[in-house]
Amino acid sequence: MRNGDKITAGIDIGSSTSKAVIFAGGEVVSYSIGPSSVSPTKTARLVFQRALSSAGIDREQVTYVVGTGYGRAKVEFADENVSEISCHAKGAHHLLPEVRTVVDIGGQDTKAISINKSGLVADFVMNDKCAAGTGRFLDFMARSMELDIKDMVSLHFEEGVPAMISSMCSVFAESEVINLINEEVPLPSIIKGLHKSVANRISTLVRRVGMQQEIVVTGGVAKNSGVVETLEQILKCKFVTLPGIVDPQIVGALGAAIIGFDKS
Amino acid sequence: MTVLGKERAIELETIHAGVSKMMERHMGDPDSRAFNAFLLAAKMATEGIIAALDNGTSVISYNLGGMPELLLALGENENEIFPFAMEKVVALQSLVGDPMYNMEAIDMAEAQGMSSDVCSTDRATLGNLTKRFLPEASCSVFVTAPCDSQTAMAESLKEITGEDVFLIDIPHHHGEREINYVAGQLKEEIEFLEEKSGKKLNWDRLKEICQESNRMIDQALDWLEWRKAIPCPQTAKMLSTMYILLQDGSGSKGATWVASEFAADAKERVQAGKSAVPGGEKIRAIWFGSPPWYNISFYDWMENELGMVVPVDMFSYVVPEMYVDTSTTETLLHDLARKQIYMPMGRHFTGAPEYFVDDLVRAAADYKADCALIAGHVSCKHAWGVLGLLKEALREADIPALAFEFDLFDPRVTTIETLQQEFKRFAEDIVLPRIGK
Repeated sequence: MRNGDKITAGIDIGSSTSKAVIFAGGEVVSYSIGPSSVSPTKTARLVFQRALSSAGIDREQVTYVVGTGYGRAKVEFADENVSEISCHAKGAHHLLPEVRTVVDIGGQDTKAISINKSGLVADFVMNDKCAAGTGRFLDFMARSMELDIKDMVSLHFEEGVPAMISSMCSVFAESEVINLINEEVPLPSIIKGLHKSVANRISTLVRRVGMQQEIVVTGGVAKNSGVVETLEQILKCKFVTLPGIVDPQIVGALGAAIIGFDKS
Repeated sequence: MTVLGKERAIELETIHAGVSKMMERHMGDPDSRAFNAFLLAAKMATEGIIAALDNGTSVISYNLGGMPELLLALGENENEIFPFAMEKVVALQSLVGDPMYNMEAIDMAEAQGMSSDVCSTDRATLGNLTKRFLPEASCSVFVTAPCDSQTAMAESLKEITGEDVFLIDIPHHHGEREINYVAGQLKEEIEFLEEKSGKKLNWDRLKEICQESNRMIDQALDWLEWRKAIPCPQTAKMLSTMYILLQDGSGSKGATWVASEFAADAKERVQAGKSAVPGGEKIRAIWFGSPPWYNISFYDWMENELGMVVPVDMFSYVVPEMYVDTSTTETLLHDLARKQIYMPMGRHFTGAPEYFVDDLVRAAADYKADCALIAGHVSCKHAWGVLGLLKEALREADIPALAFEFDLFDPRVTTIETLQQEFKRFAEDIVLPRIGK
């Protein structure tokens, strides 16, 4: 960041985590990710403050703030709020202009977004009102098995055949997982089965939106290489990866900051 | 208004009171001329049913996809038969009465074993039949349009009422061969009606009735022409009522008058440069599928909040193939058969998907639409079945589309708030950025 650069911020208040990005001179200056609390307003202030501190700048230096995500209406200090679909499309297009399909797998909802050459949203499909195919489903299952998500990812790559998880519903899937544990099915098999269940669900969204290459996966679950690999296998394609320094969870907040940049 | 000794009239009185109240509210509003005409028609339709109940008029009922012309022409004189479009009570209850009655009727039909896959229009009608507040008919005539639910409804009707039902098979294609096939069935239907009602079909009156129907089609086509104007001159909420006029009022002077009010109002507003949206229209959308009749004020929300107008929808999409050549008995039957096949909704949902897909793409081009709204009434399985083809055709035509799920009469399937959220997202994320607004 150079002196005099216009600085904007994007605040993405998700159901599980909240993200803030400080953007200047065409790049990410800093970002912050934290858990969402029951008060989206407080969470927004907290992640924003952390991102500001990390960038070493004051609030007053930020010319425009855009809120997005589930709790965007509660980002009281934002100049404007924009839906997460537009923000994810904007963020992904900025990072990877060749991308035509964005698969955002968040805590509460999963979105497949088709974007055109200019980065505008052409179509989208969402999986909302149901935890199947989301990060929340995996959190729920990890808790049932008394594991961390990180452990689930490592166990995914151990030897084993995916167990059959027939229920899409998180409530019923939990019973199935408990039964499988009682039947002494190895954990790697159960985890592969769970990842397959999530990936199957997501693959239908991707197909419904048109599945144009290149495809990128964003959101918290993009960090779960077990799910990403399984999704690639189901869709029979290879996804493009975000530039190394970019955390896939901040793409929506980045898009929000870029929208703010374009408007201010 | 009371109905002589008939406890069952309470539901109809609810509609009557509802529509009267709406008329009082809208009557002085200069922007509501066309909608007021529909309200007057709704009031008259309700009074017609109540009068049929009170006077013991001979009733023949018909189903959602049908038309009344043949029934109106039975007997030497006018009004010897009351043609009763059974489902209109459900529509009126939702539009101008109390939608809670429909939910109760839907639940009643399901409790009797009717599948929840069957259209809620038919489930609610079956519930109404079970409650026994609809006029008893001497017989019924059905067509297998607009959807498969009609066959289930015809069978259920026979079982509940013991009535004889004549069922016309609407074929898969819409060509000359198929029109002749339906015309042949109309001949058989006439024999059935004459036998069951004891009244002969008066061909001279049928000719006059069809001439009146043609005058209504004239007005409807004129109206649609005016609605092509930019900005769109009228609100979307009266669009789908055209289907009620066609299905319930074809051949009657009252319905022709309502259609002429629609057209005259549109013309007047275009000439005065008036828009359906006070703040200016931002998005032009084609609504294809069933309307949100469980809360018709959704259209007001679309217009006021999103600046989204609907110049034409599936229910109002009248086409010239609906004219009837009245020169001979053969042309009358041939063209009534063609009209039956080309009724909106029926021509879209019954038969090859091309009719559905091509109509939507043509409407989008003719009315200069920025997007399409594929209104997925949950029971319209035939429509959901062609969703992929529809989306593909719209993608090729570069028209963004929103496909959403709801039930036209049952608010429990998708709330208005959820619909609003989906529409807002679609408008803000896809349509407005594309058109640079």
